[in-house]
Amino acid sequence: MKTERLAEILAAYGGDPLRWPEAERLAAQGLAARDPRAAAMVAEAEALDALFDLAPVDAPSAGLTARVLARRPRPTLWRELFPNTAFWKPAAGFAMALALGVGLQSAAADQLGLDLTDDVAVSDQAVDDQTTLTPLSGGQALSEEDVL
Amino acid sequence: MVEDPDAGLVALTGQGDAEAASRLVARHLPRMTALARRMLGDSAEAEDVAQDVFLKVWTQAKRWKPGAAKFETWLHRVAINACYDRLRKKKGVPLDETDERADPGPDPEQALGNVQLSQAVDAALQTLPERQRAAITLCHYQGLGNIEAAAALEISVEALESLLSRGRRALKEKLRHLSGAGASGSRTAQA
Repeated sequence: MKTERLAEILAAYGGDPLRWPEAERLAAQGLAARDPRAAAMVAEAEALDALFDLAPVDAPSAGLTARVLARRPRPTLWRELFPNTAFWKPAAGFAMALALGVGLQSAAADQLGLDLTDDVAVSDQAVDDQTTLTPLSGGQALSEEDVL
Repeated sequence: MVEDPDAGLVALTGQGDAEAASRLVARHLPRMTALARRMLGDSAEAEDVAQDVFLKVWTQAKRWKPGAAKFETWLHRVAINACYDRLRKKKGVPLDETDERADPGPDPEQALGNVQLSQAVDAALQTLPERQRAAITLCHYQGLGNIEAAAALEISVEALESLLSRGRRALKEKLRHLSGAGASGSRTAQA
């Protein structure tokens, strides 16, 4: 690196190597280390930096954080119910439980030698036999035949 | 792809995660307030800007796509633009017209006579043209690298260097009478 470029870097970024362009930092530091004139230029830039650093920094007021956070996005219902899980996990759990339930019912029926369709037929017949219509308020219950 | 330490927090914040939002605010609110304070020279206005910046964060968090730019760079751009808007409204003229004109502002020497040395430096900073002040604020005070600062200001690195050089030269001139005090103050602080 030439002294002219180091002077440009110091004029723009000051004397702290951390603020220098990353791609030129090592070369600039090397030049400052071996050239007393370059080192003096760095020291001068550092003195100006020190002056800049005297400018005050205000901490945010106590209420500002609360005011900012009060308007943050609110979680979805899923997020409220399952704060530490991804969206799909509860849905996948429910689906697996459902599949397991259906599978177990089917396996149990096989083991007992039952035909579930017979159950449905019997059940339908029982419903036919007992079908009555219940009035909304009081009165006698009417059978389907009474209505027809 | 840009490595972004905030990407995870922003994504969680977009899903409504309260803890992530709190951490994002703790990490960036003081820096945004400080940036706006240096740009505007007024603490109350700086807090207004910081609130506006985070309102944008809350809106954008759901849609944030990591990789294009660092969240912090985007945040600085939003804050700088919010400051420019306020400065334009104060002056009633477009920023371009005021670009190279220094703000007469408070007199640094008078500030030194009345109050602290630090306020004299702040007063000198306030007299810089807005874009020079923004460049110095981002690089010197906010600690952004030259590429990030240029991106936040939406200018080239060369243009950033030019703003920085002119800004530092102007400040050096304004603070010439303080340079002895500043250097000794700094040495005392380090001792």
